[in-house]
Formats: sequence, C-alpha cells, structure tokens
Amino acid sequence: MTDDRTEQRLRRALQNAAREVDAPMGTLPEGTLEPTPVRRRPRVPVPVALALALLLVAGSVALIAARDDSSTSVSIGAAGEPITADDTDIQLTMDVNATDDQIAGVRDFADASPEIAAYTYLTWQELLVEVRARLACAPGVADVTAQDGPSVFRFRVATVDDDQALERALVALPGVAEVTARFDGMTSVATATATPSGTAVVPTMPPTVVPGTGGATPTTLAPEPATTTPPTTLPEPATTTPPTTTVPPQEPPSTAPPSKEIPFVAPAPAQCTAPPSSDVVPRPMQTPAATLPPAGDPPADPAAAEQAIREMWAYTHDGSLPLEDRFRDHLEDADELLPLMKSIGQDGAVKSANILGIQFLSPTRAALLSQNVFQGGSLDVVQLQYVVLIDGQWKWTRETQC
Amino acid sequence: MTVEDAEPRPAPGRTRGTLAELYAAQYLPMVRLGYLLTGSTAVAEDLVQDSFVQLQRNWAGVREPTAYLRRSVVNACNTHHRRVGRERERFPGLVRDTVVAEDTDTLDALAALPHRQRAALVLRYYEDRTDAEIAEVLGCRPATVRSLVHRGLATLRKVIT
Repeated sequence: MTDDRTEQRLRRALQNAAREVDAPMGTLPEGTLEPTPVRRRPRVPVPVALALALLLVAGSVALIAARDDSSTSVSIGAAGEPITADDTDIQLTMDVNATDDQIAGVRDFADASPEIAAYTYLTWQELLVEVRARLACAPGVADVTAQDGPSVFRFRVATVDDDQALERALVALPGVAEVTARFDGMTSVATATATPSGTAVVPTMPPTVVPGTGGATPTTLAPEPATTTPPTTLPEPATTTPPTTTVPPQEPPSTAPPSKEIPFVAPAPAQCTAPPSSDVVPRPMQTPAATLPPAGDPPADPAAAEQAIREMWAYTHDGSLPLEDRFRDHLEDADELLPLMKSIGQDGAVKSANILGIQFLSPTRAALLSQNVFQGGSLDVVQLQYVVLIDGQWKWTRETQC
Repeated sequence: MTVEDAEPRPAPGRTRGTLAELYAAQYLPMVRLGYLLTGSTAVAEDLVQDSFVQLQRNWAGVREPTAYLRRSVVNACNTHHRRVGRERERFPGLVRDTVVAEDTDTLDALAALPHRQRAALVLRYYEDRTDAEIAEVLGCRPATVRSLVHRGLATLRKVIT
C-alpha cells in the first residue's frame, strides 16, 4: 500500500518536526535509578480498607445515594445487554446527596445526547447487590453491608470523536461528583469542582419529574441513622428488582427522545468453586467473620515483620495519597494490576478500619484479618487477605486483589 | 547520580538491558514522540522523565520496558492534553501548544485532532508502527486503530488540501 499525498506530507512533516527536537539527555531525578527503598512513612490512623481494593478491581466500588426506591424511570425501546462494570465506557458517580431532579437531569442529558448509545442507572442498593455477587466467592470476605452511598450511571457510548468534551459535559451536570471515562485503554477521571456535597444546585435543564414518583412519596436524601440498621444487615434481595421496568401510566410527550436506559439486572448468584474441604453451596455473606489460618513458620523477627505489615497496610489505606502511590510498591504484579485498579476510577472512602489479627504462614507470607467500614459507615467488610514479602517489601498478594 | 550509575532491581530469569541503557537509547526517541503528541519539547521532556521514573518503580515486573515506556509516554501525553483542555476552559488564551516546524499547516491540523487520532497517526507515520503495535500502545483493537487512522487522515485531507 502506497501513501497518498496527505500521508506523504504528514510523514514528512512529522519526520522534519521530530528532527528539530534534539533534547540533551539529562539525568533522572536523584535516586531514580536506585532500587526503590522500602517506604516508612508516618501512617494515618485507621483509614482505608482492603475490601476497597477488591471492590475497585471488581469495578463496583461506588456506593450510593439514598434514592427513593419508589422512583422509577422509563424504559422504552432501550435494547442491548445490561451494562456491566467491565464494559462501561463512562461511569458517572452522583454526589451522595444528589436529588431526584439531578438524577433525572443526567437521564435527560443521556437520552438527548447522540454520543451516548445506552446507559444503566444503579441505585446504591443495586450496586451493593452487584458488589455482593462479585465478592460472594472472594476469599476472606465474610460480610458486606451498606446503608447509603452514591448512585452511578454507566454509559455505553456510540462513536465519539471528542471524548473529552463528553466527559466535561457530564461532569458539569448538576449533582455529578465524578466521571470516569475509559476509552481504548486510556482512563481519565474528572471530578466536579464547584459542587460541594449537599449544596443546592440550579439545574441547567428544566426540572424533570421522574415518571412514577408522582410526588406521593417524598424523596429521602438523608441516610438512615446508623443506629437503625445493624451493621451486619444486608438489604433484602427485593432491592435487586430493577426499578426501571414499570411503564408509567402516562406516556411521555411525543417530542421527548426515547429513553436509552437499560435496566439494571441483578447478577446471578455466584457459583463459587468449592474448596477441597467445604461443601459446594456458595458461602452466604452473613457467615461468621473469617478466621485466620493456622500459623506457619514465622520470620526471624516477627515483631519487626508485623510492624512492617501494619505500616504497609496503613500506607495503602491512606486515602489522602494517590492510589498509584499507595499501591505501586505494595502490590504483587503491580504493573499488571494497578492499571486495573486505576481504570475503575473509584477509590471509595473508608471511614475506619481495624486490623483484627496477623498470622505468619511462612517467613515470607502472612494472613491479615481486618474489618473495614466504608462510605460514612455504609459498608462494613470483614476480610481475610494475604501479604507476601518481595524484595524486602511486604506487598498485597495478587490473589488478595483479584 | 548519573545514568551510568543505574542499577535497577534485577528481574530474575529475564535477560534485558539495564534501565540506564534503555534511558540512553530511548530518551531522545521518546522525547520526539512526546513532542509530536504535545507540540512542546519542554513538556515532552518532562513527560518522558516522569515515564522513566515510573518505569524504574515498576522495573522488576516489566517484561518489555520499551513497550511499557512508549505506552507510558503516550498515556502521559493523553493526560497532558486533558489537563491543558481544562486549563483552556478556565484561562482561554493563556495555554496553547507550541508547534514550530516547517509544515505548520499539517502539524496544526494534526494538533487539532482528538488525541487518540493524533497518537495513532504519529505512531503510524512517524514510528512506522503496525496496527497491532499501535493497538498495543493505545490499549485498543487493531480495527479501532484503523478507524482512528482513517478518521484522522480524512480530517487532515479536508484541512490541508
């Protein structure tokens, strides 16, 4: 295949332009070419949890706003498979206090945008159902509960020439907290800057009454008091029923674009691979907390090793640091797993966490049992995870993160 | 600390050059690639430096350092474009790419393309990469690469002819 004139001109222009660049090779920053030292930073007391990493990789971390279950949406002619976390082009996370009008505004935008082919909206309860399904077979996850969190939209885009413009338009919508776009392996996260949580925002679109609400049921924005729900209580499976299947009694105006919404479909119960010594029934999430496995040979200095693990644990759970900084040197196969974690674009927010115990299985491997509370007390996870000593650094194992 | 002092963490069972050798061999090509993707030598140098730092951090687990580096540079340029785009919105007129070259029409038209199309064209027509190689760098399918190149060329033809 021969180049046409445009291609020849482009090739020549690129070669000429590149030749003009003759940057002298400098030295990398001091210490760059030295082996990475083991980090020993002061740790923030009790921040993030490890389940979070699981949730990140699972693609379902964003937990959701208190959205009235009675709110419904129109599902007219939206075709296609439900949009899962893995095939989402853009994930939009609403502010935790986003109103129904703001959520409806995002729907209106999506229905009117030619660049959006389809979308799925998940309430926090629905997202929790998905998280539970994904974590049902995860080793060490004994329980997952939630009381509130942000809702999310998942968009599947049509052909987009300027994904940045679409991303900017979405993040500028009222009530939107964050937009994570993933196109062809490139991921970017845009965060709303001028919309403090809970602040009333004047919608840029006409307020839309979500069909089905009818105003009969006032929307509850405030999360339920933590004391009213035992932390180990899960929402009933009834919340998995897609709230988007009800056709409202009144048809929308004929001028309105058809909805592109694909209702959320609760994932099928996970078929866990039975461990050698257990039965084949998937482990219910309400099982008693995981326990540490039997001890093996400890390292030469168990106290120092345990301290190093605790420091690593605290460092990787320090939500004030960028995710990449926290996990780059503290994750087995980081070059492969870190992009996955980053691609999810969500880091959640752990309210508190406790290490319940550390057990050395060998001089270079240990099990760690921790309890983590996420999202303002909304998600409580007890996890059994594993760390391994690599090049003098304790790291989360691949199996833990996957 | 100089390049000659480089002693990256060894990768057991793998034979490859040192980070210093890679730095010596790939610094200028990567800066040129970054320049063609950003339009600024200074920005390209910064991004390439950052990419080498990132590579060093992950050195032990990287199987193909050059491919990793190329992808890292392209991703860094992508991030740069996004940041510049936001700054342009806030401070219009203050931020601009600085493409100064012989065929400014072509390069200006190239700079106006969406960054993925731009990256695909640069990798194809500057680095002579195949669809599969470009797909690896951009993290997409070869068919997507062909689409990006086709659309990018179509736009260039309208602008520069």
